[in-house]
Amino acid sequence: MQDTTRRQALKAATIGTAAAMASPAVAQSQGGSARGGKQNPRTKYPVPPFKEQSQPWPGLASRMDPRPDHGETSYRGSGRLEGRKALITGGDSGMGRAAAIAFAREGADVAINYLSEEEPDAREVVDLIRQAGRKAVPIPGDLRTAAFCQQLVAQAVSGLGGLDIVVCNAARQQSIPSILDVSDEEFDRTMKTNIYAPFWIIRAALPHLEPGSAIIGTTSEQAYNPDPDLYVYAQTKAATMNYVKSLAKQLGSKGIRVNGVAPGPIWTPLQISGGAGPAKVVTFGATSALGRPGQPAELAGIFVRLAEDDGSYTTGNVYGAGGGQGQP
Amino acid sequence: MMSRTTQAATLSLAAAMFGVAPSAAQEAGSRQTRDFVQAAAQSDQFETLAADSVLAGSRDTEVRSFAQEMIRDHGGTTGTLKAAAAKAGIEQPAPGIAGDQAMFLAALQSARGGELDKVYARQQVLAHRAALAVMLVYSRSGDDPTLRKVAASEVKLIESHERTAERIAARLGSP
Repeated sequence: MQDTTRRQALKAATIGTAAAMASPAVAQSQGGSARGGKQNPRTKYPVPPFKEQSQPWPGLASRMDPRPDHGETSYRGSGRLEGRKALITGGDSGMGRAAAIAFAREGADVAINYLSEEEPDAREVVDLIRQAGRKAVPIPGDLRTAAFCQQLVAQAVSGLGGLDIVVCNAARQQSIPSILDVSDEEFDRTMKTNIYAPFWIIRAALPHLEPGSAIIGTTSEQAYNPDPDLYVYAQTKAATMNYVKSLAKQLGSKGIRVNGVAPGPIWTPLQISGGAGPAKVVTFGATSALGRPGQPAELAGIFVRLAEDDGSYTTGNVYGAGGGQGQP
Repeated sequence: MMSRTTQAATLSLAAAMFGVAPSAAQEAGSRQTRDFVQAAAQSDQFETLAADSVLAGSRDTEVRSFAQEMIRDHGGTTGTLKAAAAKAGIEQPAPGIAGDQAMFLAALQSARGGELDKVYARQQVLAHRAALAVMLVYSRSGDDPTLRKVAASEVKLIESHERTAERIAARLGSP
């Protein structure tokens, strides 16, 4: 088809331009050599149009085209989380995976939670954590029950020998243009995963968290400026943005910080497994000022910042990587 | 969706923007010409992105063929524009789309099925009216003869796109 040919040509041209313009940039994102310096954020990563693609929920990063960059070859640590013990939900792919890789390379032992369907992605993350010389504790399971969330925290605490970073990142997102098509089951599934699970996990983890511990919630630009087809998901991100602030006030007296990360459109399996409709996938990120989606690796440093001891005055805040969409 | 009032405001804003303005010291070409090149390039890019999105979701034969025509025609006008800018010694346009176009694209990305077709048709009418205003103003009062010719040659093409978009919008009952 003519259209496909044009896309491929465009993609090839883009890659060519990116390579010509910034070969150190390519080396950094693929070979992990250069750090510091500067690259054009527009051309640093793949730009739309993307190939039409869809996977059954929850999707695998390893089957996405292009494959997302979680910092596998680029993230270099410098001991910022030495000796810390982190639990990350949704740690197999996307932003959770970027956080897991970065945390391990910064010196933390990391437990990751994921759905059993995500085992292939999770295995890669476990290998990467171990290659960084840290302990990896994989804990598969669905977060939609209080019982599992309690068990998850207990396993993380025993597997890691303690806990001082909790990242509530796992989420359900489905693009449904009309509220008339939202079933009770879908609504409940999203609420359980995105709102109840962080409540159950944080409540179970709190007795184990000493002063200096950090809790991080993944919120979204959708919390502030929701898309019409993300009616269900977006309100859970607004709730996340809000619980970060109330818990920061509540837990300040205990010396525990609580913060949020607010991504813009990020290239993750959640999007191509029903989180975005086909019309959004092919031009994903074109609406942002940088003209492309963000990659999970571009958020790794934010998670590290919010977890590390140097960020000790940051609590009740939301740090963003929004691509220029103007929301905090 | 853009209301008629907003639309009128956009058109008069476009007219105001492309009035004669003194050029900045170091940049080649008048501000009027540079703004025209940028607006024309953004319009082409928006058309291509919107067509990509709609082709991923639409099953309407007429909508699909219109979208394919947009990719072909606006790819062509981009080439013409860039060549003319080079010839006129004007800096090449920056990549990307304008803020209001990003909002259109976001609305399109969130639509599905018949609604996707309707939203696209309605947006295409509005987007082509806005582009037409830009082309008409520059073709009449632009200060660079090479780019004035480009603007004049695009007027007919855009008018024809707009008529087709209006027909499709009417058939689909776009709001």
